[in-house]
Formats: sequence, structure tokens, C-alpha cells
Amino acid sequence: MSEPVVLVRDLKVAYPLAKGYALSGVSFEARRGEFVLVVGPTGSGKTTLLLTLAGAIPSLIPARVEGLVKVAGRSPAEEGLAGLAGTVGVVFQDPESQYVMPTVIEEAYFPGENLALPPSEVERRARRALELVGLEEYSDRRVETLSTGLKQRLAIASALVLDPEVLLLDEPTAHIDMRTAREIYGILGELKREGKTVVVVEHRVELAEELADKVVYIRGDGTSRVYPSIRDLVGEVGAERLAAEGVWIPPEYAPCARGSRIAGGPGGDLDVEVEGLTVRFGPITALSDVSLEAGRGELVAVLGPNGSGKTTLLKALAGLVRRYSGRVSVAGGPPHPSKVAFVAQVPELQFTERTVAEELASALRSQGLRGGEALRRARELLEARGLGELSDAVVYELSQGEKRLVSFLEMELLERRVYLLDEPTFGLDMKYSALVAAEIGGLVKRGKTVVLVTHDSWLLFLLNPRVYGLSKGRVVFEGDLRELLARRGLWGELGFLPPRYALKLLEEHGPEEAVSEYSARLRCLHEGLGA
Amino acid sequence: MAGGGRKLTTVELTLTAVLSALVGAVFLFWSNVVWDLAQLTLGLLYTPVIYGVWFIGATLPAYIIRKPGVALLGEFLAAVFELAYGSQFASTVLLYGLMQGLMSELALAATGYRRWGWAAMAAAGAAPALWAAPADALLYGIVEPLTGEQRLVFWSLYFVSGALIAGVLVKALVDYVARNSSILDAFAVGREVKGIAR
Amino acid sequence: MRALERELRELNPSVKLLAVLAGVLHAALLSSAAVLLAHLLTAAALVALGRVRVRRVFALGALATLAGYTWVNFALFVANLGLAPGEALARVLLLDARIAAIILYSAFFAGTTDPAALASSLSLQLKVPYVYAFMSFVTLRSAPIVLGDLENMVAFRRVKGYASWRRPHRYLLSLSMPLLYLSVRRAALLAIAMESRGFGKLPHRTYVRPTKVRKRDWAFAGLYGAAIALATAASLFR
Repeated sequence: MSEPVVLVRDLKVAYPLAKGYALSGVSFEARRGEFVLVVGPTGSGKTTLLLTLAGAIPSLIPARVEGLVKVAGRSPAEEGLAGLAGTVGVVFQDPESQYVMPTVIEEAYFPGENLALPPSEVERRARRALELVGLEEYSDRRVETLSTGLKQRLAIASALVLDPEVLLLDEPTAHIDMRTAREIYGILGELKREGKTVVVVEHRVELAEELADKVVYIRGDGTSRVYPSIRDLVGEVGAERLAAEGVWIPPEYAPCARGSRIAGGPGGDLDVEVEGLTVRFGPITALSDVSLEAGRGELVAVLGPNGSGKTTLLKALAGLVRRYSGRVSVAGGPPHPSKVAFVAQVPELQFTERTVAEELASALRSQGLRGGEALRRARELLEARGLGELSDAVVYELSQGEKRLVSFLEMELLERRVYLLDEPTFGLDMKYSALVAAEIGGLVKRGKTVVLVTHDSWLLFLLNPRVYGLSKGRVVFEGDLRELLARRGLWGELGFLPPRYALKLLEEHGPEEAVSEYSARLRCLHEGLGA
Repeated sequence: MAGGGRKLTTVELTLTAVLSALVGAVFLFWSNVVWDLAQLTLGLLYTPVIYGVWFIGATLPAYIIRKPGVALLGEFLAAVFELAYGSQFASTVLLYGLMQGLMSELALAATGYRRWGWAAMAAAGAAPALWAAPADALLYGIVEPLTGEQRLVFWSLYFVSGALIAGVLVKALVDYVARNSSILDAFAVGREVKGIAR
Repeated sequence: MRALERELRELNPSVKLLAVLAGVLHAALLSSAAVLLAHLLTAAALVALGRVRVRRVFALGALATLAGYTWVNFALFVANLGLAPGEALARVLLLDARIAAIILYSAFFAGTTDPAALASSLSLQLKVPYVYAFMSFVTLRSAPIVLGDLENMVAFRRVKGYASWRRPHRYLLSLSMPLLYLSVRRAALLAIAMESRGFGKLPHRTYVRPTKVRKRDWAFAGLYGAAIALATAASLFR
């Protein structure tokens, strides 16, 4: 009866220099208090959709918009992003790029101050928003000292200050561990109950599944289809096809279960040995008395919440930490950058060249190959991997998944013995995450020693490695995945929470079954994951 | 629609600010390490050959964005960074940032913000020396031990260094990036290099 | 003493900045021993009263700069201008005093000013449009990220064995593309985050914690002005 709060009809969006449309006919609507989950492969335009709903396109980001878009009765394309402030709140995936002010409370004052509200009103709204997300006690803290999860909560609070009718979130938990992610969805659930209309793009579908009133599936060609639930979506399109496109499908929807495992057996002599490692940066102790070992050809995972010291540990293994106490031995000697292949969390940080072929060639050149020869070999390699068409693409124009693959390939070309992987599935959709998992499997098969840092619990299930749990710089757990599953008490401080289906299997059948059944179903969805 | 006209968009403002953080970091390194090294190795007379680096806060964002106010803002924000991260010359760094940015801004305003060739950029890069050279002499007394002739050489190096480093080098670098990738497509330099209508 | 420290720290940044600049200009123009001594003492007093904690790195840097200038100037005065060592020393000391005063004033200013307060003061007191003044927050906010990125980039280049000293221009070029890419991306995200919360929508905004010009600022300006006047008088009656 009443007009929908969000109305989208046949929306088409085209970017200036791109060929074709980013969105080519999206339609859906949402009433007050509805929770809309948007899914689709990466690059399908989900972010474009949110940016258009917010009014950022075309006012901030030039693009051609056709079709009808109305949010709370207003037109985002006409009013623009700032114009809709107060009606629409936006939250993105990277909390680091969303805050501006030095302290929490000032960040909460920011929106009210911008709209020139009276100071008492600004104060009132700020405190209310912080209460809503549970950050009141952090009011006077400097934002940079907060953990990533808390920073994201602050981003949500800040978007809520002006009491918007509609909340748009683009992968809000991408940088956050599972446990904190659940807490954030708890907050979103509250907001839904208060009558806010929420539109979320989320890869970890299981987090939003219960809250969602409808699912908008945006296909690779930029068109859309609306389903009442994920189950309906899977039922109609098919789990395997969705998985092949890169859409995250909870494995319980997989129609089969495929056995075999990625064997990361305990190798021979120790390739990586850490004993009593303590690293301090000024007053902060990043690592405290950490001990770890990995045999030749073994896969070891390091788990822990943000700020627990995982990246510092990897850097120490790479010989990039200058001052430390304790013993670190890599490939039989002191750690040094030339002994390891380190895949960065942010691929752009390791790129030095312009095109993909040149980038791989630079890795080959450091092996001693000369310019022209290196380039030729690089092209051959890309062809052999079926990535020939990427050869002359500029690395900065690749999708996130493609960038990650290139960074992987580049490191593999260095022919090092020890691999350090820093959140390799970070920011990737299912298809590329599966490719990365397959790459890791390949490394292990070739006898490389791999130390993997991840907060993606599904990856752990798939690879079934030995696990070290870090919390606040200390090792609080050491054992394999089954043992971790049996020790629920530790999950909190490790920021660990098994995926919903795995949890169910754990409770019904125990750790052994949980690991094998869960990964078997995952393998069904992605053939490449089978050994 | 976005990006046309003379008014700075929010993205252009934040890009200037983010670049100024980067430039400010370079300034700190340049002030604390390179300046002293240059004095010792090149001798005072030729030290200003490195001075141009301190003007890139103005020319780098201005060349990318090509709108009024960017040069001034960029150089000033880089000075704010230096202040916050502890330059020994914190009290004067803000003034220098403001005035150097202003000089560059005036040089660009003289071309109506329309000419972005080598000569215009060299002028924009050299203009801040109009402040830096006299200010260093007046406030820091840096030319006291030099003879009249030497002072001329000394001061002219400010301008030459500015023109080459903050003008020519910056243009070459930005042109390279704009031409060979889509990173700067959303800004004026990308549009010009790739021939896109506004 | 604590109260005095607090007062100094809560001075309006614009007032402090203008006072310090006036002092520096005064020291430069009337470069006599008396004036310079007065400035040195005043600046030192301000640093001490404000209980400025100077980081060791910067103290060392400042001393290195002073030492460098002293040596270079002395050598040049003698060898270049042909001055007698005694006279050269006198002039060098005067220059040193000037630079030391500037450094001390800087330490006072930087050590007692909150950059956030400076940004607010720029728009409130110096009437800079707030959209420009607030970019200071963005710059300061981006600083640790940019520095972290740079550090990581250098680290990964070491892992890859990307030679730096052999072709420095290639190395710099290899840094510039990713740095520009990351800067543009961050700038776009920040702009969206800020505008979606009303930044730039209205020409004026509310300040919940505004910086004001209070009695203490007038008192400070008055006292400082008097000190400068006294020093000037003292140097004239020499």
C-alpha cells in the first residue's frame, strides 16, 4: 500500500571508459524495515548498485545512469551523495578509509556538525549512535588505537548519527574475523527491528541469510533477479553454477560431498623454527615469547584476531624485523628476505611494473634472466596457465581476484622454499578464493613449506593444517584443526568461529566429522579443490 | 558532470590531502637527512640544488587536478604534516608552506589554469622560490657567509631546482602514470592525456 | 606550574602561531646579541613551562643541524669571506642563536599544539573555509597509512630482490604507480565517507568543541608583545 522505501526499476549504469554496462537492467524494491541481501560474482556491479543508491554515482563518480531509482521518495541521481545525507547512511568494507577525526566521539560529532545542528543535538545524537553499537566506553579513545572490528562499528555508528531511513553496507565484514562479524550482524538485526531499511552486499552469505527478507542476485551480465531467500536462489540457479560464478554458497547447499584431502603431512626436518620470539615496537609488544615450527613441505596456519601479531610474525620469518629477541631459523639459517616468498595482503604493495607480463618478468629477472628473455618466459607462463589475455593488462586495472593470482604467480616464480601467505583470500569472491586454495594445495604438493595467516575459517576446514592460535602476541593454541574445534573456550580470544554448517556438524557429530564433511561439500562446489 | 568547473570536488580535496601526507613524509626525510648531507658533501653554495623537492607539495596535486586552490592547499597540508611529525622548524614551516603554495598558485593563475606544458610547469615549480630564497636569507641568515656573487648563484639554484624537480620531473612522472594506466582517469590530467571530453 | 603548563597548552593555536612567527621575524630583523638572547631565553622558558617532551630523534636532529650550520658557517666566514677567526666566531654564534631560537619556538609550538585544534582554529579564527581546513584531518589521518604502505613496499621489494641502488630512478618509478593508485583509491573512499555524512553540504557547520580566543590568549599576546618591546628597547639603547 505505502510506497516502497527503495525503488529500483531497470537501472542501467555505464562507466565512461568501460565497454558495455556495469549494470544492465536491475530492478527490485524494499519496504520499510526490510532487509535486502545483494549477492553476485565480483565485478557484477554490486558496489555500483550501492553507490548509485547512495547518490555517489553520478555526483562523485562519473557514470551514465539510466532507469528509475528512488530512495525514500528522493532521487539519488539528482540530489547527490551529500544531498541524501540524513536519509541514507553508507558503510564500506575498509574501516581504515572511513574515519577522519582523531577520537571516537569527534567522529560521532562529525555528521551532526556538518549539517549545522545545534551543539546539544549533535552531542545527543552522537552519544545515542555510539550506544547503539556499544562503543560508549570508547568515546575518548583515539580511533587509531581501536581494533578493526571496533573501527567498523564506529563506521556504522557514524552512519547512524543522522538517523537515516536506509542503511547501505558494502561487504561490511570483509576485513573482520567471523566472531566480530556476527556481532555486527547482531547490531544490523537490531536496526532492522527498529524499522530501518537495510541493503547489504555480503559474501559471507550465512551471516545475513536469516535476517534477509529478499535476495537480489546480480548476474555477471549486470541483470538481476529477486528471490525470497538463498535457498530459493540455489534451488533455481543451482549451487555449482553459482559457485562457479564466484557467489559464496554455504556448503550445506552443495548437492554432494567429495572426499580426498589436501595432504599437508608433517615433513622432514624443520624448515621454520621459532623459539621464544619477542618483538617490541617502542612501548608496544607485538609478539611475546612465541614459538612455532614447520617441517619441510608442511602447511601451518596462524589464526588470531586483528592486532594479535600475525603479520609481525610473518615479517619476522621474512627477515624484515630488525630487532627481536629469541631465535628464528628459516631454511637452516637466520631469516632473510631472499629466502622466502611473501604474498602480501594488499597485492598492490608488491607490484613494481605496469603490465602483468612485465610484473612476472621482474620476478624472473631477479633470478638472473635478462630483460627480453624474462618477458618471453613470462608470457609463456601466463599462456600455460590459461591467463594469456591478461598479459598486457595493467596490473592496477585488474579485479581483486586477478591481482591476487598475479601476486601469487610472481612469488612462485622466485622458486623459494618457504612461503608466507598473509590473508591470501582477503577480499576475494568464492571463485578466486577456491583458486587460491588450489594454488596453496599445489604448493604443498610440490613440497614447499607454507605458513598461512588467515581469519577465513572455511579455508582452514578445506586445508586442514596444523594451527597456531595467536592472541595479543602470545601463542594460546597449538594443534590441528580438530583439536581447535574441541576447545570452544579459546574461540573468543582467537576471533574464531566455524561457519554455521560446520558448527552444526560439530555439535551433531563431533570434530572429525565436521572437518571431513564440511570440506567434502566445499569440494563438491569447486572441482579444483579436489587433490 | 562531476569534475567540471572550477570548484573543487570532495574527491579532489581528499586526493590533495592524501598526496600531501605522502609528500610531507618525503619532506621530513629531505629536511632531516638530505639537507644536512648535501651541505656537507656539496658545500653550502650548491646545496639549494636539492631544494626543489620542497615545492612538489604544490605542483604534484595541482598538475593532476588542475583547478584553483590546489597548489596552495597541497603545499600547506604537507607543511601541516611536517609540523605534526616534528620538524625542527615547525614554527616557520606553516608559513613557508602557505607562501610557497601561494607563489605556485599565482604562477598557475597567471596562465588561467589552462597551460600545463613544460614551460608552465617549470614556472609553477620555480615560483615558490620567490618566497623560499628571500625568506631563508632573512629569517635564517643562510647567505651570510657568502659573497655577493655567490649569493646570486645560491639564489638562482633555488629557482633552477624548483623548475626542474617540482616542475619538469613532476610533469614527466604524472604524464607517465596518466598515459599508461587508468589510475588518474577521473582527474583533469587523465582526461587531457586520454582526450576525454568533460 | 601545572596550571601554567595547562594554560600554555590550551592557548588558541592561531594566537600561538602568530606570536611565534612575530617573534621569529623580530629575531631575524633585529639580529643583535641582546635581542637574540632575549628570544633564546623566552623560547626556552616557553618550552620548559609548557613541559614539552622532545623526542630523542628530533633533539638529535636539531643538534646535528646546529652543529652542521656552525661548522659550515665558520669555515665559510674564514675561508670564503676572509674574516678573522674571532669575528667569524662571533657572527657564527649570532646565527646559531637565531636558529636555536627558531628551533625552540618550533618545539614549543609543535609540542603544545594539538593538530586537530589547529585545524579547527584555522577555520574558526582565521576564517579558512572549513572544507579546506578539515583536509588537515585527512592528511594527518592518512599519515600512518602512507608511511606503513611505504615501509611495506620497500620490504616486498627486498623479498623480490628488486635492486634499488643500481637504477634509483627505476626504483622511484616503481613506487610511484602503486602509491598513486592507493592514494586515489583512498581519497575516493574517504570522499564518499565524508560526503555521505554531509561534509560540504552547507557553507557553515557547528563546532561542538570550538577553539576560542580567551582571556589567556590576550594575556599571552600582551606579555609576549611586552617582552619583544623590552628587548627592542634594550638593543636600541646600546
